Parts: sequence; C-alpha cells; structure tokens
Amino acid sequence: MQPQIELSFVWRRHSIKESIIAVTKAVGAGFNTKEKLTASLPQFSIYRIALAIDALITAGMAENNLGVLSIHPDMDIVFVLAVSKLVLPLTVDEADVFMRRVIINKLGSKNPGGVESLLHAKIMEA
Amino acid sequence: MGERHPNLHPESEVVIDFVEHIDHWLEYLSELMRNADKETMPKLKRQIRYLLAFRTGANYNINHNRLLQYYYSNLAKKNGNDISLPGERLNTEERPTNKVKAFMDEFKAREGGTSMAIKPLAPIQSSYKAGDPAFKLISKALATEDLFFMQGPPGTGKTTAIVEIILQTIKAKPGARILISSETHVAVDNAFDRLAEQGSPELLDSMLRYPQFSITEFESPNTSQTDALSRADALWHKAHSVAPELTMNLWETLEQGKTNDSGKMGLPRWQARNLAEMHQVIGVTCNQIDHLVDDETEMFDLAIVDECSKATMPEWLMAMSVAKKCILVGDHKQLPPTFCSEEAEALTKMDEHKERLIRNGVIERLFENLPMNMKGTLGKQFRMLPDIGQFISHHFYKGELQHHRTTTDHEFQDFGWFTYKSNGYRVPVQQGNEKKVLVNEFEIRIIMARLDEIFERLKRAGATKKLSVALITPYRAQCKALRDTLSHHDFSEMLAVEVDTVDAFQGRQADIVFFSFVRNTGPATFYADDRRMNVAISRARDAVYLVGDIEYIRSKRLPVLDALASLPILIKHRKEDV
Repeated sequence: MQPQIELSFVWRRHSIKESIIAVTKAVGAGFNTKEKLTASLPQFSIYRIALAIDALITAGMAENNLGVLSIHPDMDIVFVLAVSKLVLPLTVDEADVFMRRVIINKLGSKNPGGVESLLHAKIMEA
Repeated sequence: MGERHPNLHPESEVVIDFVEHIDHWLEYLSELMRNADKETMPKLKRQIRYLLAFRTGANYNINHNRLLQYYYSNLAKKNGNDISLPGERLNTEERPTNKVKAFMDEFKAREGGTSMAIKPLAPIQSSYKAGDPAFKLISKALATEDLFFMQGPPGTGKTTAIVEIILQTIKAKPGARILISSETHVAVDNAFDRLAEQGSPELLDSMLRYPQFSITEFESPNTSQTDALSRADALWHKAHSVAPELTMNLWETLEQGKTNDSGKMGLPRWQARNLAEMHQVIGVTCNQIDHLVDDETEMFDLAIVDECSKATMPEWLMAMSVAKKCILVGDHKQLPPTFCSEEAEALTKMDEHKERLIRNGVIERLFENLPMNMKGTLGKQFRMLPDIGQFISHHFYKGELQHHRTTTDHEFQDFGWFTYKSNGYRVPVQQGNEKKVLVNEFEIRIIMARLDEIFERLKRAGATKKLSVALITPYRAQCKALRDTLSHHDFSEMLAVEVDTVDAFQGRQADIVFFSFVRNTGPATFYADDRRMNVAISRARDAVYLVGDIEYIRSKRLPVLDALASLPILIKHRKEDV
C-alpha cells in the first residue's frame, strides 16, 4: 500500500497571527505607511503591529522602502496553507525540510523559506 | 528548597516552607482535575501553569519569590535566615550579607530608574489630609519596591486607598501599567468605578475593565465606557470609518468572540490582548488575567489584589506573577476562600495539615511575618456606628480599630436580639448522619414581622430616603426560604432588602442587618469561626438585629458568641407573637 501523509501548517507565532493577517491585508489595501496602518487598524496595539511587521520583514514577506511597506505575493500562499491540509504520497521521513521546500515552491511560492519561517509544518501519517 | 523536615511533629508543628505549600496546591489541583468537567478544566490547568511558573521563578519579578519564601518560611524554620532560591547558594557561609535588605539594595542599585518605590508629596483625593494615618499607610505602600500588604478591616476605606495608590503611581510614573485584580468581579468593579469617578478624563480613556462589569449601578456615569466590549466596539467602528472594506474583510476573516447565553458577543483573546496593551489601567479578576497575557505581553508595573484573603493562593499569585510590584489588600480577620463541594471532597483526600493550610490560606501568616515597612493596617472605620464598631474592634482587632461615625438620620440604631424560646421547635430536626434541613421558619416569621414594623415606622415618620437592609444567614437553605418569603412582601417603597449568605455578603454593606442563626440545636461549627461572625456583624452601618435562640448560642461557650449573648434582648418572641 502506498504511504500517505497529511501535511498541514500552523502559525509559528500564534500570539501575533491576527496582527500579521491584518497588516498584510491593510498594506495590500494601500494602507502602507506607519500613519495609514495605525489609522486603519485601531483594533490592534501599535506594539503588535510592530511585531507583525518585524515578523514579515524577517520572513522576507514584507519590504520597507523609505517608510513605505510592500507585501510579497507569497503571503497569499501563506494564508491558504494556514487553513489547508495536503494529503501526499510520502512517508513521514520523506517529508523533510527539503521536500517541503519543493512542495511549497511547486505551489507557486518564490520564498518557501519565508513561508516556513511564518508557518510550522505538522506531518501526520494519514 | 532548604532542608526537608520529616513529618514527625505534632500537627501544629509541621514545618512547611512556601515552595512546599505550592506543592500542596499542585497536589490538590491535580486531584481536582480527575473529576473536573469541561468548564472547570481550563481554570485548573491555568492555575497549575502559573503555580509551576512561580515555583520555577518564571514570574515577572523574582524578588517576589525571595520575599514570599523568606517571610513565609523564616518563622517556620528554626534557623530561617537562608533566602536562597533553588540552585542558588546564598547561605551564611558563602555570603555574609544574606539578609533580605541586602538583596533588595542590590536589586535597587541594578534596576536604577525602573524602581517602583514612590514618595508622594501630598494626597490627591480630597478625602485624605497629609497627616492622616491612612495616607501615611498609603505612602508606606507606595514607598515599597516589590511587595506590600495592606490590611483593611471592615469599612476602613480599602477602595479609597486603592484609588489613591493608583492616582499617586500614575502621577509619579505616567507610563506605569497597572492591574487591579480580585477574586470577584464585584470587587474589581467597585474599585474601577471609584477610580473612574476620581480620575481625570485622560485616565478614564486609559482604563479597561475586562471583560465587562458585573454591577449595573455606578458611582460615576463614565465608568461603563471602560468596559472591554464597549471599547472594542468603538475601535471597530473607528476602523470602519477609515477603511470600510478592509475592516469588513478583517471582521469576517479573524476569529470573533462567541455569543454567550444572554445573546451578547464575547471578546476573542487576541482582541482582549490588543486592548490590554492599548490601556494603562486594567481591571480583571485573578482567574481571567491569563486571557490578557501571552508570550508577547508587556507585563505590569503594579498589581493590586483586592480582597486577597478571600482569594486562593493560586489566584493572588497569578496577579503577582505578571507585575513588578504587588500590593495585596485584604483582611485575614474576615472569611478565607470558599470551596465548593467538589473542591471540599478533593481536600479531604489530603493530609490534614495540607487541607488546613489550603483552606485557611497563607495570607495571615504572611502578614504576621512581613517586616513593618512592608505591611500596615487601615485603622479607622467609616461604616459602623460606635456600638457595633467597638464590638468589632474589641473582638477581632485587639481594640485598635477606631470609628468615625457617631450618628445617623433614622431611629434604627440597635445592636441586640430578637430571640425566642425554642419550646421543642428544633432546627435541624434531623440528627446524626441524616441530611440536615437548615431552615428556621420561626426566625423567618420574626424577621418579616420586624421588617413590617420598620417599614410602617419609616412611612409614619415620612422618611424620604430608602434604608438598605441585609438579611444574612450562614445557610443557603435559609437564604432561599427567606427569599421565597420576601417575594410575597413589598417593602420597596421604604426598604431595599437583600438576602444572602455571610460568605457571599463579604465586601458589601447595609444600613440594617438581620442575622438569622437558624440552628437552635446541635453543633455550631459555622458560628465557631470568628471570621464569619466578624463579616456578618460588620456589614451593618447602623443596626444589627440578631435573630436566634439566645440560650442555644450561650450554651456554645465560645468567646465571641458569649459576647453576643450579653447584648440586650430587644424582643423575646413567643410562637403566638408572630
């Protein structure tokens, strides 16, 4: 019988996942400076907005160009992966970090390392 | 933690240190978890998590661990000078300056400008004057760096003192983050309400009561706006006015709070944590502090735990764990924490000395052991008239409690008995191991008759102000019977009547108190606890009516009950009277 695994992803920093989602969507909607971001996201503390920007920049998913933020299109893949489960014909051992990079890459990501610095992979035998 | 003493001593001499007591709690909570339901389990897990964190020093201020360990243990150990934490070697041989003061001085030197010791110049609230003993005590609390214990006997103005501490802290440290916590929602609500009344509009904007108020009537009309749900609602509306599409998208994408039984939407944790970071003064019960705290949370500069003697140790440790400085406010001469039947059952499975420690808490011992610069008692009560106040002061506070009020504006100022002769009317009727029904219909009839009379006399006198009346009893069954009977009467024109058990009434007050003893035969376990009688009587501002069989009370031969039995008999009822 062919081996099967279930590959899913969870947010690494659970405590700021909402801030990361909000900042990504806000920048995508054109609220891309400090002033615009804080004005459009008053539900979030400035501290957590800053943590989210820091996490995004560290993952290579956001860029700060003279105070104007831009978001990498790979964040769309991050959002989809965070709520998906992939059933793959692999063993648990085969689904190592190199294989996962290939999989994420094949899904269209140009920055699979960045995806995995925001999301943590969970692998279970299906 | 230091030398473990074998359990060979008689019960009263069992030597326990603070960490061992944490272990007792862990043992007890683990036992509770065996049969815990889905609702209780998260609370137990949370308490265990905080206890383990405190035990391993993962709390915010390690000096709290040192101080509690030292001042809890040093009388327990014969040579109790070692304040080392596990793994440290700070005993006499290796470190000559092993006193607490030396550690604190070292800490202060290292911490420098982040010190939380404050020296206030003058009172902020008009109710205090610079030379007031109460303000001096507040100044002492403000001057401590890490820990202070303020004992507040009944009616001594604990809430006013808490508000002054907060106002002074914010004046000296405008960026300080402050936590107001307690075991009950009502205590947090009251402190928050008073702060909202006394604080500036700027302070009001920086206050957050999580998740919402339990009281519905406020001293300040502005208090209710500090409710977390209202705050969150306002922020979502503000976001919508700036970025409508983005806001709708986020509202649909992000987790929202669950709707409760009353149809009101709750707050998701992420929102609560963001809100907590946006505000400076947070009001929350001890058990819900964790809702506002995660890996990223900025901790508090000051935590004030009101009614700390009613809180269990894990509860007040939770508040202490997230703050740099902690002020415990409470009164160990009033009731300790209450335990429900499941909790009491788990306790009976433990050694007797552990059970006793958990039930009584460690607050009294801590207070006794702390040095004078870290503790103090509010010495003047503003609630009770002199007769009642003097009784409370003499029997529960070594005669040191002064009183402020001397008069009132109505005729009901008694402190005495509505007694009766049992004449074969026994409560409870059941004996031995039978399940007891603790309802005394005769006492209920006496109370209703007297309420009728008070009502009529107030009406005749043309009273313009309603009097508050508390019907207090030790037993829930009597409480329910009183409520049922009361529902057939309407005193609302002249009287605001509340019915509750002694334990539930702690923290509240009324102009007139009726105390129904209920039992007139068998053991008096409930009355034997002086703290319960202290709470029952000290709820009253103007009058206390003791309703019970005075001969039975006298027969118990307990000091406080004997003193009560020597109070005047106002009416001796016969069955046919009522």
